Amino acid sequence: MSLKRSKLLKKRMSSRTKRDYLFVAALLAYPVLQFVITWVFVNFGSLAMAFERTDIYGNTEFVGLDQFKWAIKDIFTNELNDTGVSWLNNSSVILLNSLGYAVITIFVSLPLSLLFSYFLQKNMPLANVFRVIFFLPNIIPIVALVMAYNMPLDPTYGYMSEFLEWLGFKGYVYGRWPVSQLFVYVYCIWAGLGYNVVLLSGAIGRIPKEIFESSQLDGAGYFREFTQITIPLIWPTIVTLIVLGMTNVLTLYLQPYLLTNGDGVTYSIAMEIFMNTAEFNPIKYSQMAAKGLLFSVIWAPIVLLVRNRLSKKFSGVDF
Amino acid sequence: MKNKNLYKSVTRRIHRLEEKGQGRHLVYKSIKWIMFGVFVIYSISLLVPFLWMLVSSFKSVKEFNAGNIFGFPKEFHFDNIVEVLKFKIEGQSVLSMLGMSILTTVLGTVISVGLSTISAYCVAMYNFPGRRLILGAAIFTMIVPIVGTLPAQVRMMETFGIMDSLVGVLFLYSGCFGFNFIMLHSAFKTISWSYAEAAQIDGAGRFRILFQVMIPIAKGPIIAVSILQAIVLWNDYSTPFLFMNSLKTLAVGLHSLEGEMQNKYPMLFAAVMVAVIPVVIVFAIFQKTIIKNTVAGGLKG
Repeated sequence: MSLKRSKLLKKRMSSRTKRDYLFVAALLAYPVLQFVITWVFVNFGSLAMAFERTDIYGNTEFVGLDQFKWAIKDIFTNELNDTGVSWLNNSSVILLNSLGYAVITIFVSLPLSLLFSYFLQKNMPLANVFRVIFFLPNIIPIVALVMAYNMPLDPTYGYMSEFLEWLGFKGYVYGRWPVSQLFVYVYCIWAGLGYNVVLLSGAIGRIPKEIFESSQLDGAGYFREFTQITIPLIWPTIVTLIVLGMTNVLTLYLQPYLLTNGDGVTYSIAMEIFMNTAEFNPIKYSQMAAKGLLFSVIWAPIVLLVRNRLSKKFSGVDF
Repeated sequence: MKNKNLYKSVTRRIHRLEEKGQGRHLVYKSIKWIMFGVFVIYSISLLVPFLWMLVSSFKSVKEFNAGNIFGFPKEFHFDNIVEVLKFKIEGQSVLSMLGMSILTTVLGTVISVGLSTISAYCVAMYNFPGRRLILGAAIFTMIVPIVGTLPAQVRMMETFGIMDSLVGVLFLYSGCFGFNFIMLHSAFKTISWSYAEAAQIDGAGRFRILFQVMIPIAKGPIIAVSILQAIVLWNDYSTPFLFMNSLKTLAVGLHSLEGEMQNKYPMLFAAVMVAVIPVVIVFAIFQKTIIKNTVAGGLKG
């Protein structure tokens, strides 16, 4: 009797799990399929592309490592040089420009936004107004934001161009490297602060107030509180932002593309790939796939290594 | 005698400490006010260009070109917006770009957030083989940067025959294992399964539990994610630029318009306002939901 019942129960249970599986399978069918198809097609397709060459008639052939050799050779021997610096050329300057994005996001943007977020929590008057204003760059179309940055620098209409002239930047200096690139970096800092501040002040807001109160009772000032309490306690968020800053080297392209369209050799790695792809020229597809793969293989392990190292520095905190 | 000396020295020391504390207090106050000044300058640098564009969009082109660049318009001129909406770039009017923006944003948000919600729910609430694999893959693809895949993406879209079409863009937007998936997954994780059990006893099936019990409970995070996704899609440049170039959205069209409007800035500014103001209004309405449900969730590596 009891054996029969337990068998019945088992049967019912298994039919229920079966129905669960059916339910899950029905709902996940499209998302998983879409993911697998896109991922496989894009990544394996890209891998295959990097070892191919397409001629002007549209025939593709396997060429082994030729495209990679071309990419490396291009960096060292490109004869075009619009930078005005003798040891650079139009290909190697792209690497320098791209690495610069990691440097400025980690060493300029991040400290600035940490400072901003820290003081936003310190009973700053109008803190909530500032919070809303700082959020604005995140929601405004990047095309409009770029215009808002560019327009004041317009030689005829802009109010900032007069100010710059007063500072000694005569004429259209931001059309020439390296000022042109600096101009893009300043935009990235200006527009990126908002995003960092939102994330960081969220993290600081999750730290219990008692911790700050007790440190103040122990006589810790702003500096010690900032360096010995705030930073260690929000370390995971800081690591995320450092990793994002490092991946910028490979992924950032819209900002320079919309700001300068490449004038004044402001190309980044991803921008070169984007602009060459946007020409829809199959001959260039393989070259760009090889360049992208080459830089990913070099840079991605470095990013992961840094991430692992940094995560270990202050472990066991979670705000 | 000794006691008196001790008393004196202690009071003196306390005095000194207090003085030091007050000095320090003054330093801190000035640091705080310096930071306040920095905040004000940064805020002005963000707001002034947009206010300038807003005010200038009401000036007539003539007035602006005649030299009234920074002043208020002599008379408010509302024709710029009408004219710019009628203006055509490569045969497509700015009004139709606005329509395309609304269409792609609404459809794209419904599809991507809908699919993210459903799959996050399945992965968070049901135990099935491959569950951990899905979660792991979602996190992995977010962390590891692979670049240079753009040409392969173009080739894929060409192979499927959905290049240069709304269907193609929506197909790309329908990838749902990204940031939204992770956010909604953690939101569903916090909901107790006993709600579902109670509904089960009342005879509700799995679909009813999902749509009538669980989704209403997770309403806050879902709305927040939807609004943010809608803003991202409204502002998206590269996907519609590459994969739907003959039917431009406003974000794409604005960049082409910049080149066409070199001597008609007030009209250009009116177009910028058409792109910016809807986002600002939507954000203002949902600001509390967004901040409560996303910043509180946080982002950690």
